[in-house]
Amino acid sequence: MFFKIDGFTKKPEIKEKYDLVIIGGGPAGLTAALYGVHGGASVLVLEKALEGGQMNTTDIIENYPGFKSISGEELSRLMKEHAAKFGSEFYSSEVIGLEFREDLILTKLDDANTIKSKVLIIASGSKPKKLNVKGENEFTSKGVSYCATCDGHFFKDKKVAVVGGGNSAVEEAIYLSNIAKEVHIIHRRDKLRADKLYQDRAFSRDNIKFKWNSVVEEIKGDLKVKSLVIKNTKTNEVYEEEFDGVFIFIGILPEISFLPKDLFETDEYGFLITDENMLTNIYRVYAAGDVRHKEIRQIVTAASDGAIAASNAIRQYLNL
Amino acid sequence: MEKLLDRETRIKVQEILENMEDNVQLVLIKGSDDYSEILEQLLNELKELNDLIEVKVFSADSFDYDLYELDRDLLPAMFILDSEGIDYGIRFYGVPGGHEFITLLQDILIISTKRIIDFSEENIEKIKSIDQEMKIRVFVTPTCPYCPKAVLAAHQTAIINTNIIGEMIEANEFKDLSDKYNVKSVPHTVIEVKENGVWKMKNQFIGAYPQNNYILEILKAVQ
Ligand SMILES: Cc1cc2nc3c(=O)[nH]c(=O)nc-3n(C[C@H](O)[C@H](O)[C@H](O)COP(=O)(O)OP(=O)(O)OC[C@H]3O[C@@H](n4cnc5c(N)ncnc54)[C@H](O)[C@@H]3O)c2cc1C
Repeated sequence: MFFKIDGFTKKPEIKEKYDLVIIGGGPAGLTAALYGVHGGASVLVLEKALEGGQMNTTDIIENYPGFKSISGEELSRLMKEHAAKFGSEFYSSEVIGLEFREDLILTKLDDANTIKSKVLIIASGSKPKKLNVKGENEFTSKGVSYCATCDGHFFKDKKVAVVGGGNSAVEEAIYLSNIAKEVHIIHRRDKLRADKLYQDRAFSRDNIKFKWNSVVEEIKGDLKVKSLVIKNTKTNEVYEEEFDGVFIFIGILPEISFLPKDLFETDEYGFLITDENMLTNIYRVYAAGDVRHKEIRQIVTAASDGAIAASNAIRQYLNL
Repeated sequence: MEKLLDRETRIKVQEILENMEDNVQLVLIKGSDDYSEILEQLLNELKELNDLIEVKVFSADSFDYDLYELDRDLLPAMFILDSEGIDYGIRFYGVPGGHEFITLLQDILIISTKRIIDFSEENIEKIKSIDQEMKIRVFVTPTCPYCPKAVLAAHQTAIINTNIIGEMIEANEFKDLSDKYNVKSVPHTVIEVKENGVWKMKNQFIGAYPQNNYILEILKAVQ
């Protein structure tokens, strides 16, 4: 039994105006906050859920330099404490809209507050992509899940499927293999995309099995997931197999619901396009982390984006 | 007996509890299971950290269930009363361990200072407008980082409107009930409304919703 008090939030008094407002308290936002306060700016981080972002739902992290192995929750706590220690402020609320004035940015919150800032960094991260098959929405949270650390223990000694073949999918399959009886990785190609370290681990687990060249066509059940309809794309064979749950890790989409439509330059999926300083096409607005159009989405690259954005903001616009 | 809260945690909890203003009473109804023992110990450790905390322990047969709206089937059960013994409808079924421990501390502070920390004026008015008896049951697990937000929302809703009970239910401890509502993902919020003396499920949703959406879901249950 453990007792955590890290997320304790006393609703703080917030000021009306900051040099730098950061949307999202994941690794990108927390690092931007750290560099912001180091540079002398007044900084407010707005977070709707929990500082740490996706790190909170990652069991163990083994590729953030300096930590051979650290739990996602622990790294989240350390990053938040680090930024707070040097004076960054935090406020728990969801950003629901933005307004751009000549020399100010207005950030609107769901508790009816509006905050002014000279510079804005969007570090709102990403959310899981859906499979878009029949039954997925119907059974979401009834056996269909996008988070193994959140929902894994409802599948103790059960048979689950993991869809995907990248780092997240394979990492989470390994995590689930400690809980579930059997984990089947369903992947549309004939080899994994995940880093070799994770691949080796997955291959060495007896209770992780692989369905190569396979796609899920339908998720079936009554009150909860009962089976998957799977198609082998090589042989075109279609069959139904019983599963108690299915975890989907097939990629991500940007978290951008609060952005004014069509104002920002994005790629076809909505990821924000920036220059090498993380500046978007809008004056004084930066983007950092998973929400950006980029190749490698990891904690270390999110942190790096945040550092670059805040440092550049201080030089370009804040003249501190 | 070994302490549940380690030294470092105790110091931090003490700091948090320094913000208390008035007495609060933590009322525990124990069963004969291990969780009941753990929860009793936890409450006693909290009491040691601040004099304003009182702890009252009852066994299920010695407790007068007629006085409070409580689910008799779920033990341990705990609720919080203010210095005058007023019940604000905050319920904990099972141990608020892991991330959920924060919720308990936050509830203690809210009851002790009478300050709601979350909702906007407009949303408070909307909550006040509910004139039917309602139970907001939030299923959680100790390892769920987003759950405290959902439970705190339910508890604060209960504090704002006396028609409403806000419950934390530890899904691992109460498997049968979790199965009944088909809990497969947490936080899982179930909203029940009393109609002709019987509780009826009116709505349910999964996840910690942003404030405005949360209020919408609550209001849907009484439309
Ligand atoms: C299952 C899984 C395992 C992973 N494992 C690893 C790993 O081992 N190593 C690694 O390096 N990377 C890993 N990653 C990737 C890594 O977690 C992400 O790349 C990284 O967290 C991105 O950081 P970020 O700050 O850009 O966004 P996020 O971590 O997504 O944080 C964004 C934050 O913004 C908040 N937010 C969003 N919208 C709003 C709003 N409107 N108002 C207020 N707040 C808002 C969110 O609540 C969130 O907390 C993993 C990802 C997943 C899904």
